[in-house]
Formats: sequence, structure tokens, C-alpha cells
Amino acid sequence: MSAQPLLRVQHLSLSLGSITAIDDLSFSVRTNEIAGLLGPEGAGKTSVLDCLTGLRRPAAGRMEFHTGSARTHLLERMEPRSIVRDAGIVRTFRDPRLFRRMTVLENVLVAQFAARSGLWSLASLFPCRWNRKAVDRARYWLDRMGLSHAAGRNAGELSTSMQRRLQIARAAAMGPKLLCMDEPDIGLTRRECDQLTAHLLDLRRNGIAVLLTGQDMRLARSLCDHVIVLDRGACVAAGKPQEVWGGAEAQRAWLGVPAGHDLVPRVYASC
Amino acid sequence: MLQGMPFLLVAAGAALVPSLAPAWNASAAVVLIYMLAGAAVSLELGWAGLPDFSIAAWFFAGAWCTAAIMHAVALPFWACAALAVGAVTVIALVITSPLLRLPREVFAMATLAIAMIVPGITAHQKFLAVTAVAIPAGDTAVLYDALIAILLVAGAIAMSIERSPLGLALRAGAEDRIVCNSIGLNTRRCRLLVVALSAAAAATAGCMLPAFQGAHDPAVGFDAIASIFAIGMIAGRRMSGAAIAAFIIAGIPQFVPALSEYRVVLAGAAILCSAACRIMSADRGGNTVVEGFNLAQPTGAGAE
Repeated sequence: MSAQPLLRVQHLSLSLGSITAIDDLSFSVRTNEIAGLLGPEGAGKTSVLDCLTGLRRPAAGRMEFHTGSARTHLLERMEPRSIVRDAGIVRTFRDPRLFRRMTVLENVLVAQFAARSGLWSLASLFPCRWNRKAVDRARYWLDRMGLSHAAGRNAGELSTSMQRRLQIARAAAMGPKLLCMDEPDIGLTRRECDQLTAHLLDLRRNGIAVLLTGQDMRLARSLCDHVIVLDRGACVAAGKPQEVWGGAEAQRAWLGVPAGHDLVPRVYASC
Repeated sequence: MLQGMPFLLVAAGAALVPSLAPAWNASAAVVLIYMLAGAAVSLELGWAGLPDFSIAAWFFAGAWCTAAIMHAVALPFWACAALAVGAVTVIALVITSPLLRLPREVFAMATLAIAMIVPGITAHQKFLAVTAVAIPAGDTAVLYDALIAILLVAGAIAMSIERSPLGLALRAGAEDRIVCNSIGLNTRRCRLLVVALSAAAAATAGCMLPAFQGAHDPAVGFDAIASIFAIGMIAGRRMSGAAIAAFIIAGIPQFVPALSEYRVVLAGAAILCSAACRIMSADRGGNTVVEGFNLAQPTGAGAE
């Protein structure tokens, strides 16, 4: 692990009208690490991802992203497209947002072309199948996510689990340095969550750092190298999942569970 | 789908008209011209989801510029046409580029205003009007062959775009702009390219019309605007639809003069049929009924 973190967020603040969505939040993510932003609904997890990916401008704070070339990107000053193309930060959404009228393969291909800034060239006018490298890469990631059999189907026809995997395949095919995932486990069965865990570990093996948000500690325990627990936009606990799991502060502030009670993850309790 | 293949087949079939039915040569030429203009609208409205009404203005501007250049300088028709198409494309880019940042409904209003203002100025301002300039385009047979060639090229480009990165990007941009931003897709740049292609196609169609008529008639503008909009509405994303719509709206009055006074009624009926087809297509799980007409979405990233 390198000494310098891949992402360093310092004193990040964001207000949405009269509501403080993020309150003086600081954390970091290292290369090849899976980090978790945890907290209940409305804790500010998605807002943090929105700020990191340029969809919202923070009121204050600094978001440094260090790439391998010793170049530092200041994310708060960058446009969303530059954050994807120059910094290499890609996100997925809680409710899968795909191009539903395009096929699974096309969903992955269009993201690759977008990331490689070739749309202003003459090559952009010629059929995609001529770009064998892009097609091969798309098929590789679809295969890794278990979607190669559905490559020709419209994305809107897929199940929720498949749509989530397609989001991951689309993001991974763009060759990101950091993948931000907004509650990737929501609505998934236990088996699907296990598959998701395997896929995310696979991404890490491919050198992609992951920052995921969630309300469920179980996924974080099995995946994350460290977690940050948010409550009303502020960090209330941070550290290794095992340490945070039993922490009184996290239980009280995050789940409203008195210290000493066992934390039964909501999703799995019914599975 | 753009369905470039039916478009190509219609164009290739039209090549047989001079030998099979020479009397219908001029009428077929008018249908093909409107087909080209309709394809330009189809590309923008149906494919890129851009409610750009200014295409009709570029059609009229193509005709006017060709006549004006021929009036001003002694150059052959084809040179003047090429200059006119180039000039109109540049003007279209300059005018449309800042408008792409506007919310979609405002963009539609602004381009509709352009579609009304441009023909209005050129037709009624004496200092700009180029009335009845004779256009010696040469042998109409050569002109007809050239028109077929242009349509074949346009169809081939459409077929290529259909499965190209640009085509994918356009479809993506028409569907969800927030996702486009999240994957780093520059939808504005794609749209500028489409605006350029569409304006060039519309201007080419525009400069061919007076060439077949032998003179530029400023009054043709408003009639053309209505026809082009109707063809674009009927076609949607389908270029084959542009061919059918061009035949109904521009061809029937030519081939059956008795029906020419019912032209607007026919156009209205064709639009209704097209809408019904889209509803049935949506029921079968196909593309949405309102593709290309969703005014709720903004056009540019800045408007999000």
C-alpha cells in the first residue's frame, strides 16, 4: 500500500437548502482498498458521492485525488466529465441507471467510447464492431460479471441484480482508478450479495479501489478495509469494520441501537 | 433504428424512374428532396432527441444562399451549391451551439423562432430577397442522378452512424443525461456534430429544390417548413419513415394533382397513423411513444 492516499477528502461540507447534508467530513481512500461509507437513510452518503463525482458542488472543503503520475486532481474544481475522463473516478447509482433501450453490450461500449474521448474523431462515425479492442474489453467485463449470455438483451429487460452487475461492468470497462458505488447491495438476496462481494473483490484484484455506501454492516464487514460511519452528514466513527461494529458511538448514532445489543442486519434477518 | 437500408433501396429504386416513367422525373425529384430534408429532421429529432425546428430554416437558407451566390458571382451551380451548404452549416453551428445549453423546451422555442424568422427575412426584405433567380443547373437528368447519389451517400452515412460510437452516444444522450455525465460523455459535442450533419443535409436538399424548379422562389419557404416538420414527425427515428412521409406529403400532390388540396389533411392523417404505430410499438415493449419529443429533459449539461 502506498503512503499517499488515492483520495483525500478534507473538511467537506454541503448544504441542500436549509439542510446540512455533509458537515465537515474528512476521510481518505488508499489505492487498492475497499472503503465503506455507512449510515442510515439521510446520513449524507449519496451526497458525498455526488460531490466526489461533480454532480454537486460542495460549499466548502477539499477533495484531492492522487493518480499514479504524481498528479493531484482537485475534484471540487472539476466538471463531472473531467472527473471521469481525467481523474478516473466512476460511479454507480443506488437505483440502477442504465440506457434501458440499449443492449447490455451497447451500454458497456458507449461508456468506453465516452471515457476514451474519441467522439470528435472520424472514427466515431464508423461501426463499433470495427473497434475490436473495445468490444473485446466489453465482453471481458460482461463475462466477469456473469452477463455474457445477456449481451444482446435490452438493459431494461434485466432483473435488478443483473442491472446492478451491468452498472459495475460498465464502470469497470472504463478502467477507473476509483469506483464509487451507491448502496450496491440494496434489494439483493443473500446469494446475490455473495456474488456482489466476489465481484468487488475481483475489481480490487484488478487494481480498482472501491468506495461504497451502505446501510448494512454485513457487506462492509466482509468487504471493506475500513469504514466511515456518518450521521446527519458528520463522521461519528471510523476504522476497521470489526472495530466500528461494536462501537457504542456507531450503534447509538447510526442505528439507534443501545450499546451492547447485537446488530442484526435488516436485510439478512428476513433471508 | 435509422434503418438506412430501406432508405438506400428507395433511393436506388428512384434511379429507375427516368427510364421507366420519364414523365414523373420532376415529381420523383421533389419527393427525393423532401426525403433528404426529412432524414435530416429524423436524425436530430428522432435519433438525438433534439427538438430542433431550425432545420426548416437551413433548408430554406440553402436554397436562398445558392441563389444569392449565383446572383453575386459567376460560378457554376455546383460550386455555388457547395459554398451555400458550407456557409449554412457554419451558420447553423454558430447559432445552435449556444442554444444547446438551454432547457429543452426553450431550445425548441428558440429554434422554432429561427425557423420562422429566417424565411421571413429572406422572403420579404428587399435588400435580402433574391427573387426568381434563374438557376441554370444544367441537364435535369444529370441533376437527378446527382440527387440519387447524394441520397445514397446520406443513407450510407446513416447506416454507419447507426452502429457507430456517435450513434450510441446520441441514443444515450437522448435517454439519460445524468448517466451520460457520470460516464464522461460529452453530449453537447455529439449534438453539435449532429446539428452540422443535419444542417448540411437540409441545406443540400434546399439548394436542389430551386435547381429542379429552374429558379428560386422565396415564397416556397413557408410551405417547405410545414412539409419538413410533418415528414420529421412521421419519420421519428426511422429513415424509412422519412421516405414514406416524403411520398405522402410531397409525392401525392405531385403524382395525383386532384389530391393536392387535401395535402394538409393527408399530412395530419399520416401524423396520427405514425402516433398510433408508436403507441402500439410501446405496448409491445418497444421504444417509448414520446421519443424525441420529451420536452421535460434539458438539452445541455448546464441546464441540469
